[in-house]
Amino acid sequence: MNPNMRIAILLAIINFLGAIWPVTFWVNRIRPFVFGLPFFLFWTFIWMLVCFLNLVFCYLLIERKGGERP
Amino acid sequence: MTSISLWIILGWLILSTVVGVMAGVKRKFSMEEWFVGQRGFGLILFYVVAAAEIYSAFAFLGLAGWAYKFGAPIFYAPMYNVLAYTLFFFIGPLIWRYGKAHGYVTQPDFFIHRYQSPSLGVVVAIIGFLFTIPYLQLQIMGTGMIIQLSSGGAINWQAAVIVSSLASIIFVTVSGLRGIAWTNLLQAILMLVTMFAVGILVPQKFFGGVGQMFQRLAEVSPQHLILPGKSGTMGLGWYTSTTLMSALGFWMWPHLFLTTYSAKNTQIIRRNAVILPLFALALIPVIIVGYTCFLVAPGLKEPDHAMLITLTRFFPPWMAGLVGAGGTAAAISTSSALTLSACTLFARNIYQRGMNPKANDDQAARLARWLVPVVTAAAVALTFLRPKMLVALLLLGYSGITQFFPGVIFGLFWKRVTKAGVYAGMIAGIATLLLINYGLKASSPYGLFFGFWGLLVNLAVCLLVTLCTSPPPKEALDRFYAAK
Repeated sequence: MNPNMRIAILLAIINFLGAIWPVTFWVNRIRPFVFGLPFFLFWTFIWMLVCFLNLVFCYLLIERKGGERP
Repeated sequence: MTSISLWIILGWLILSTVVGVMAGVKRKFSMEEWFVGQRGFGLILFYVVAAAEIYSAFAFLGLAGWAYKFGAPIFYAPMYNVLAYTLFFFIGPLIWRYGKAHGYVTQPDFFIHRYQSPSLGVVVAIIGFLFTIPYLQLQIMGTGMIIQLSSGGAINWQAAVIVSSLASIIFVTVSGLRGIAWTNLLQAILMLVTMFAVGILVPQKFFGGVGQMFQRLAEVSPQHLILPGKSGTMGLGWYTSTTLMSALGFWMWPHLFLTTYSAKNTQIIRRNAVILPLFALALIPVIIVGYTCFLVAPGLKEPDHAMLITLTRFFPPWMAGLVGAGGTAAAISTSSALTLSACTLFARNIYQRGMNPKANDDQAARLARWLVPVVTAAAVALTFLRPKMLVALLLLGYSGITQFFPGVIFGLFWKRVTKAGVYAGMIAGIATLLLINYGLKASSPYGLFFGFWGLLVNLAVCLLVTLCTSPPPKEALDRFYAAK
């Protein structure tokens, strides 16, 4: 497996970890409010954005530097 | 007054039908065209077909309904979506590549070829077909409810169901997946616009902003904002298991397999996996609307109706019309894809591969086309007989479909897995979830989601049986993996 693919898979695993126990145990709270959102909803929102950015990185790693793929 | 909203919805329905029919009317009819759009969809067409298929009536009514009734547990929905796209980034290109190389047009085609077992293909097709039906029923119910409520009761939901089903029968029969894709281009745009519009306008009107609304909710009903939610039953274990199961099971849906095959190349798939999470963000405003409705109209008997009741009660009719059209769009774009998928499963894998191997591709495709009105009518009849709450239907469908996970994932990545293992695991998994859902009646063990137990049993049995049976023949495997 090429090293870029390894990093991409690591990023993907990070995406999953932020959304499940035990992380949910720490973020499952109402306060502090951020951007007017209760904390758990804010976390969900921010983590979705983090996942998106991770996927952008994955794409750059695999499609750009990984070379020829059909 | 409500007639304005009704005309908006009706006009939208007609426009969608016309666009859907136009998309395919001049194309030559064939299996590859009608099932998977000649595998020629580019970035935008693939994006809208996927997004509009994925975001269904549930994204409008069910989400708001759950936020209203239970609160925070519903955050699993936008979250698992993004995780499902993360998974798609890695498995989507493989599913596509094998599909293209070996000419698969349905999900069971993959099972048949990978495991060298026509009978496994038939079983997968039957299971896929059966669990697609509750999901289809959900969309049909959703459409009916949306039109009834946003017309202020002027049209009853049964009539609405019949009219909207006719529209989707017309464009699916004529244009197949391409028709769905082009109508979805319209649906996706309307859905996005309405989701963000209501998410901002509704809390604005009652509380002066989203922040103030949440401040109020934190005083009135703080249980709504954290797990285990208002009912107190959906805790951290439920949340993690439901999120994981839904994310893993997501791409096992037969209609999403079909859609995956429609991409032009693997780059289109990866790019879509990257940008699909942005569409999932639109679910958050809908959750916020559900919360607002809880504050302004508490105690509704049907939480799924909360959003539309609030809109028709407090907002000008054109807005209810717009949201009604958006919700109808969401429901129809998904139901048409599900109908297509159910028909292809039956015609290709139950009929052509199972009952009558002599039938050629053209005959199978023509049968699938004739089945569109039949399957739609059957689903409508079921809906009239047995309506149920939206999310419960969705979770039942998901739990069943997720049982394909070991067969697909091991099939892609693990050469050692055997036909017997996949068979046994799948059957054990489905037996488990039926037992928990219908047999125990009580709550699922340890509060984990019942479909998740099914998946765990499935994986365990699959591994065990695989290791007890002899490895699959090498030549067939080499032929399968040669496409990589």
